[in-house]
Amino acid sequence: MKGPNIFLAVFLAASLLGCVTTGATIRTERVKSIIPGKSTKSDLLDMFGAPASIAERDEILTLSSTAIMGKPFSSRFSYRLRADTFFALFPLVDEYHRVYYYYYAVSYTYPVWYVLYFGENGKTKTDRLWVLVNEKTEIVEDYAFKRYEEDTVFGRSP
Amino acid sequence: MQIRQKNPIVLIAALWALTAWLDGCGVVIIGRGLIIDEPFTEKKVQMIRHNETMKKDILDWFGPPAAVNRPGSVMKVPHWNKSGSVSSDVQADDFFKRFPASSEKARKPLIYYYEAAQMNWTELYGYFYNAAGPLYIPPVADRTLTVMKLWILLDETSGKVIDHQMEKTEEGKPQQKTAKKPLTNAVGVEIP
Repeated sequence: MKGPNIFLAVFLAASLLGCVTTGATIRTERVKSIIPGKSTKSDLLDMFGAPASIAERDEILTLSSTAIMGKPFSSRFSYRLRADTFFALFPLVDEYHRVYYYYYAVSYTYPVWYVLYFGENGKTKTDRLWVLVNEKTEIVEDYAFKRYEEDTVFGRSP
Repeated sequence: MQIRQKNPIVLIAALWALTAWLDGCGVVIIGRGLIIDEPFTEKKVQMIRHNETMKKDILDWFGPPAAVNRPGSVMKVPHWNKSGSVSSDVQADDFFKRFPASSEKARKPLIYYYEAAQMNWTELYGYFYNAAGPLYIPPVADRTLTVMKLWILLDETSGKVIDHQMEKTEEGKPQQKTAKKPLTNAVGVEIP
């Protein structure tokens, strides 16, 4: 009986490994290459592609959730958010400003062996980038970048 | 049948006894924990110092809030439940009621709201192998959603944190508060 026992244990442990990603990787070097007051909207789109959302002050955004590994959140959903939350990062704005929002999420699960049984743990790590663009001048005026478990890095001081 | 995560030992022992009796083999999984969203941690929240910590520090540590509340406004507040994150309209004044005395200290009060969520659940799978061949027992589960909510009262004029509250709820029931709420009288004045 040892054969099937080991086989089942290995199969089960392997089946607990899982990973799903949402969005494109946001590379720190690329973020650092954004120069507030100089980089243009076109540079931004070249570097990061289309944003997950473009926020205008006072509007309500509908955002799509990140993909989450593990039940019961296997299927994605949407939620609503006031754009003011993004603008909290950039206090000095007018009607021409928009926040371009990017994110990259990795959700994974892994097995844990507790002598008598397996456990499964999981985490969803999200990197987020908010870029303040003046649509009138098409210039990037500021950005805020927050990697998972790290402090927010601003292009300029908030 | 529901399996409580608090006491899985009896179940595991019973399952292993059963597999031994059946002269088969068994593998079980029990206990799963999934951190869904974690914009803040309790450790970071402990760094908040009233009248010292600035709005800039909060944005540095936690990023933008899930909701920004100013008196008199209606907020769109996202919050987690067992099927995902949903948004609901909340009167900002309901948030300010959490800080009846402290709100008066701020010349221009503002509340930042954050939320973190973790799902814990228990699933029990049994795989048996005996003379009759492999037998699979489907999982039985019990889920608990733990949501940590953080309210930070700021004074927009000075940019300082005036007060904060953190609350942990499990399946929608308030369980514990980690930040001390000031004692107030019937009209909301702080009692020293």
